[in-house]
Amino acid sequence: MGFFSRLITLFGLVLLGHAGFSAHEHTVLSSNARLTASPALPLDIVIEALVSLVIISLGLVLGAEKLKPVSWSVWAGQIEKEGGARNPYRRLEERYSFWDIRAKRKEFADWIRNQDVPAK
Amino acid sequence: MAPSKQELSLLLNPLVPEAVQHNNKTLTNLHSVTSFLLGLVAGILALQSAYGFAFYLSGTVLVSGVFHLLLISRSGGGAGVFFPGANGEIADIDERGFVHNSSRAVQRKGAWRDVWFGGGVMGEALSGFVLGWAGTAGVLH
Repeated sequence: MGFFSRLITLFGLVLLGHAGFSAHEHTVLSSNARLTASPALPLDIVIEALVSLVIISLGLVLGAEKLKPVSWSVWAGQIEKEGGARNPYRRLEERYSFWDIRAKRKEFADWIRNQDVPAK
Repeated sequence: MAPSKQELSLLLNPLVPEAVQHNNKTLTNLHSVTSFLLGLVAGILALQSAYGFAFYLSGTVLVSGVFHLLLISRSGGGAGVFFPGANGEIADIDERGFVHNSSRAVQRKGAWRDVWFGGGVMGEALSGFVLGWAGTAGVLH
């Protein structure tokens, strides 16, 4: 999408530049003719400018950043689908649970007792 | 006091501020670039006074239409999926929080207004347009 939209935009810009150059040439030529009223722009330049406008705006819209859903539910659903790597509450959701302090204390006491036995 | 429809909408279906900001920024960027472009074309066409501003209005409508068609409609759901509209109020919600709507995606009330008139169309983008318009008209004609 990115390369394609850039190509479209570039093509439109070339068309626009050509239309501008043609308009400039037209003004210069008609000013040499010493006409009292400046003649209207030829139809092909007008059409070229308008077509280039449509093409460039198409390219710019296609190249715009992707929109994000604003509803919390949709946004959270997308994050869950991706595996939760972007979840801002991950730190809260993935915590150590409570320690079983009694089991740990007993383990430590057993270890101390085993250390003491061969010393005597 | 019972919550208003807008408060109820935000309680039931909250908005993500980051996503709202991102979407508004995308739309503003698009409009500021395209309005300068519109100015260039208006200068090439040698439009004057009210015709130039009429051209600007129709041009922004064109750009918003393309934006709506290509980016919003194609991704399913309406403008309410991507823009909060009138402070995020859900369309067709009643006092008790039930949504009387057939569409599956959440629709925000007045979200289309964000797409068609938002994004600085009457502010920064307009000054960009006038800059391009006056510049090219001065150089070319």
